[in-house]
Amino acid sequence: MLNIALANILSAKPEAGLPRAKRIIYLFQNGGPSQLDMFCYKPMLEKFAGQPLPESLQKNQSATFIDTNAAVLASRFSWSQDRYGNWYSDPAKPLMKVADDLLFLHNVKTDVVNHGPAQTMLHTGMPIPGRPSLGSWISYGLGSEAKDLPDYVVLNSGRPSFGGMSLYGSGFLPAELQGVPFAGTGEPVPYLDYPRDITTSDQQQVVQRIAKLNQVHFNQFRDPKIIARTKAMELAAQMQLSIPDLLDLSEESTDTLELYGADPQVHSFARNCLYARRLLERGSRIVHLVNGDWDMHTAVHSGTEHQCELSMRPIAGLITDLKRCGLLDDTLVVWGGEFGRTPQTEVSPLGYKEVGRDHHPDAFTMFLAGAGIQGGRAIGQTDDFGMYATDGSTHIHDLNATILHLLGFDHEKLTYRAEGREFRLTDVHGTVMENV
Amino acid sequence: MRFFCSILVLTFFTGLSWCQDSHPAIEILRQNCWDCHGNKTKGGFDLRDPELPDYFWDSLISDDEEERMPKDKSPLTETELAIVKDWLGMADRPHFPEHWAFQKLPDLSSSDQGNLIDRFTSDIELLPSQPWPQLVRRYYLALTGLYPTPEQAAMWHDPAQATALVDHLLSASAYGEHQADWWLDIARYADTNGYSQDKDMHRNVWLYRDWVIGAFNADMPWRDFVRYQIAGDLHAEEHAPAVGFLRNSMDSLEGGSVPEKFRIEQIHDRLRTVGQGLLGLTVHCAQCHDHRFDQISQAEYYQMFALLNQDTEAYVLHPTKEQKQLQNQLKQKVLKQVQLAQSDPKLQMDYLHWTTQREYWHYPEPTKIFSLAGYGFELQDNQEIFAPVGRNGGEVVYEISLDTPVPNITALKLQILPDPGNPYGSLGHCVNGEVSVSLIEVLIKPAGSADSEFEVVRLSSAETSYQGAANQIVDGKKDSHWGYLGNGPMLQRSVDVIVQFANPIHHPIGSEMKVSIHQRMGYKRNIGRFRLGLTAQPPAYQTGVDAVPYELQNHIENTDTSIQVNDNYRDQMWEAFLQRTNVQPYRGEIDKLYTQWPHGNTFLGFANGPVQRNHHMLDQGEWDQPLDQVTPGIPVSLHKGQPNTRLDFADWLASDQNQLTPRVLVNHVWQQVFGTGFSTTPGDLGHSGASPTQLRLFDALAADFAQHGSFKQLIRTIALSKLFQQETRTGKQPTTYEISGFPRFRMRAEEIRDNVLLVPGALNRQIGGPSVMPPIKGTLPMGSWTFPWNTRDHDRYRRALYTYWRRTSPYPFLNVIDAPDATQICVRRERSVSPLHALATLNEEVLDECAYRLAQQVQQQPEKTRLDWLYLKVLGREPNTAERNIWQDYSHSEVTHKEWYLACKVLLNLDEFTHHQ
Repeated sequence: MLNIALANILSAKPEAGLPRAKRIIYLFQNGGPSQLDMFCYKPMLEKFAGQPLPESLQKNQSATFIDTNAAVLASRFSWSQDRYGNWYSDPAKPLMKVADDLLFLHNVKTDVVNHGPAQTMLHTGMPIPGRPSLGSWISYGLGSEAKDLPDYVVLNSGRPSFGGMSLYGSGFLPAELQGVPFAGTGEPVPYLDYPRDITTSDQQQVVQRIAKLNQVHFNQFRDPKIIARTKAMELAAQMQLSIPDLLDLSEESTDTLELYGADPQVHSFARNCLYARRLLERGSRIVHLVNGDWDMHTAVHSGTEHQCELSMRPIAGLITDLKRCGLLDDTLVVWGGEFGRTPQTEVSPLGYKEVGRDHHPDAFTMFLAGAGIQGGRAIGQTDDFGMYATDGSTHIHDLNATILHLLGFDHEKLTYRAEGREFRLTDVHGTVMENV
Repeated sequence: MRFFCSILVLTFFTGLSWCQDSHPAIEILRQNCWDCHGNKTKGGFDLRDPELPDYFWDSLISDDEEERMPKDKSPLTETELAIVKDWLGMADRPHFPEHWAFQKLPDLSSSDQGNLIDRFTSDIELLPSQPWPQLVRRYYLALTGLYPTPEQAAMWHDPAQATALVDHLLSASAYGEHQADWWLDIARYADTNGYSQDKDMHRNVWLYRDWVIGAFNADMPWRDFVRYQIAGDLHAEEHAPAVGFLRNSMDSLEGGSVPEKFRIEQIHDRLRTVGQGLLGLTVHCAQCHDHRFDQISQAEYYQMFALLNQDTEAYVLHPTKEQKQLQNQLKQKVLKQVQLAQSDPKLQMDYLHWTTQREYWHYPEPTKIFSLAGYGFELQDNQEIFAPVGRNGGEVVYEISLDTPVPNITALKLQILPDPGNPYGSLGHCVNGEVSVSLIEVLIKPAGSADSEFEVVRLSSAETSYQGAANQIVDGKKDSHWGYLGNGPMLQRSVDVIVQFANPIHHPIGSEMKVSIHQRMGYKRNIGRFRLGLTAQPPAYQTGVDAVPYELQNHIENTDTSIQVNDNYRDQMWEAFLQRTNVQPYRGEIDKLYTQWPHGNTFLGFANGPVQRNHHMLDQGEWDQPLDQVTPGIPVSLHKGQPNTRLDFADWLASDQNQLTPRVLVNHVWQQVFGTGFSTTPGDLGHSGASPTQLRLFDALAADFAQHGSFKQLIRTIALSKLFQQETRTGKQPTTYEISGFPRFRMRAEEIRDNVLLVPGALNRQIGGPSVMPPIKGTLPMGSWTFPWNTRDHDRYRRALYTYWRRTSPYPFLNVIDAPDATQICVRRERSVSPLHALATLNEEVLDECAYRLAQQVQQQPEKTRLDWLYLKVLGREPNTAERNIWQDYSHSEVTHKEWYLACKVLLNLDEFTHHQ
């Protein structure tokens, strides 16, 4: 499908033994989940509930709506620990089933505090749209592989993301490297459905005749692009069969559907998780799930409950299922949002009763699984209130460098020349995390 | 191999009088040594130095691999060494030249006649001329973006008509649309703000697009074309929309955004666009720090930044000439009504009384102005509060804290004031100028007490000075609103809203009052400028909503002995009197006239008058990290002397001193015509950019273009050259521009769509106007395709250039075929090969409809000639034997409509149809 041969990709491949992962599922949680109500247990929040944070912690905070002296908000959930000592709030508890596989990062840090820029930052390493997305870089790096499904697929559930196309755009990389969003309802990919009364055999006939006529044209002009485009046309016709086949869940057992909590007829995150596994099985290598509505300026507790209900079981199901089919070892799973949420309360002036939490870019939680990562661990400590990291931060650039590393790339060498200079996902930053 | 190429190039061009003395060693050194010893001056010398150190030569011939140069490259060959040695030994050694793009353009005072390009290629063996009928198609496509219809093609039957054909096409309006298409990639044209999702993101900027089309069609000289896009507003009103070039930057409407941060980001983007798009320099690289090999330092970056950072952004009204005439006529008619009233004896006493009313209102200075939506409020003179336009959509609450100036307050006045920065210069931020208030809440507490002491002030009624159900804002409900959208000039006049308290407040002077103004109608119907008044008078004694409007109060001269209206404002005062006190029939007549008022469209522009700002370098380009102060200016390497305004900057860009822009523009035009520019990095002609092929030809064309200034003449020269008229090159197409043969390259997405529509005659040729939304099946990833308007039937047939461009989810058809998302400047599109592209051209609804229509047309042709007719219609030629064989199953007489429809799909998807060749 892709037709890129670039010497500098080869040099980006590191020494033998790596890569650990050949593919990636990114479970992006849109809006910024509250780490303090899911995986980051802070008893001190209860002690200080209703009072301001200690002043020393308020100093450098960058929130959007609240004053930094706003009252601390305790999590209202009860918490439990897995056998490794990692914490899960009640709503997040279904995830404990795969505790063995999870590596928590509690000290993730980003540079920006608004949704659009922060989502773009997370996905492209820059807060301003226009750079290639992580998935496009990976697709570019992995290079050409002919298949009848897109290499890089985006599955949406929940509200539309703030960052839009920048989350999966290809920037200055060729357009064929951008993520292909599958719609949850109706035509899954733009222009996939046959128009009018065209049947599969009509379309095959059209494409075959185009191929023959293009061959005549090729005989005259000898331009190899003619053949490449003819192939793309044939591939398109195949996709019109393979994508509906991918999306047809009738062959999945009730046990599997139950595992994910997916209803084949209902567009949901759970169903998208199942599609993710099916995509990997069929050769796609980058599956990006955009999920949820985590921007809880109000009702952070009932909201977290609701979002966890929609997503925790499917994630546990997905990881279990990937393991069962032997895909987990060389698939990297990433979970997280564009930032976390504040320990302080946000009170709505608009009269909502239940309070929320504001944006918190300084320290928040993500987790990784698969790709041979040893699970049951956590990296990064934060202070008693979850405000700041106390033993160093994992910046978005470090995270992205590590993701590329796990996929077999040196983030400093996976570059593309544009505007007269080499660009990379991590700009001039990023250190691969040693302990992953 | 390289060596021979450069020798060859030299021999081609030595015949020209202006050719500089050069030496083949220079090309060898440029390839091998320049990166370190030219760009970066490592090793203590620069290749441009008049004397080179001895170790320069020694290191080239060293046996020690550690020492030998060029580092990490294979050593120079014997032949190359001999050439370098020859160069070093020359007594009058030709200098290593300045980087090509910074050299002065050559002087073209040669008396040679004929096509400029042909003069350069006269010694080169070109491919023979393309057969004429195919050349006609090439001309149409290259110059207008549209194939000829068979009827058009038939008009041009003789190769001797080439000049006439080219001139004909250059005068077609499709020419301007086609040129605008590539320029809009550079201008990152889009109809939405970008950044955050779908809400409140539309903006009116299509007048800019239409300006660009008009400029190309009128063959505006490049100097004006450039000048107006930087400062057209400061030159002439008709060129004001041209500053859309700058204003096209993305903006954030997200709640909680810091406006200044995004304002600064926009200026970074504008400078980047000017840098890459007009100067061919990646000036934005200097945003964070100096680069040793870069022409532009960080300080110079911020000097240029300062040139663009002198304005307030605004939506500016742009009535057409006809609209202005109508406005003047209406003004005259209104004036007639006003003068009639002035001569009406019954009104004299009322008017006198009205102008002499005393103001019983206090306007205390707010102690705090706050909005959760992150407004950058500014407290200005006379307690006016300014809320900048263009930030934050959805539900917005303004909270204003005041210390009460009097006891026993009975009422609150919200005075909503116009601002030139608002759309239509109106009262609010909404694109149509409407403002709305959903609810007003007033709280009061003793000075210095805790917030828990706040008491709610009960409100009993509200009225407004012009129109609308103001009581809706005191009903305690957030879902009922008062909205204001005045007719005609009333849109730009202040409106008073007076809210009566149920009981006077008995708190003493200096108590803390908090007024909350809620707006939840969405679409930014937020107030843009206002002030708050308080009074202790009972309603009967308050100067009410019929009072003299704020903007006219200063024109009443109040001396010791008399109160008099300034003569210059008498008519305005009378008109306000008729409006505010509702004097019939005059007010009714005036209102009726104003409903006919044509506003004109708005565009993204700048408010009148520059803003004084202190200019600083910014650490890492961050808005809140100022470093040293700088003065506005242009980098010294480009210019001597000190422009310090945006206007100066525009004039410098358009001046003879700027040798870069003509090169950039010629490269773009070349890229447009041949698929590849002389340099493959059109946004970077600097040291790290790709060296141009055919540098001498490139320089000569740029020099010629700089002189005559005409895009049409440039394209005419290209189109009538033997280079352009050659046969199509066969085999793998090179990635750089090469002289031999006309290249094959895929059309732009817009060209593909336009030409499929053109074949069955479906293309709607209307030029300009608001962007259109052709149909999309289902939804876009970022929500519905019905905002800001629904698809209209004729929208589906317009040229693709007019497609509504939503940055966060662009129109999929164009997007999958490599159209940029317009988040930032795009100087060169990729031409990717992808099955998604194939799906789009095979299945898209409108393209499919075109195949269907074409099938209907083919069936109306005589049976025997149908296939030939179809080939002529789609490809402008007859099928050849090999092709006829493939269509053998269509030679019988019972081919169905369905089969013809499939055949049309085949032809419209052929590689030949979708390629320049």
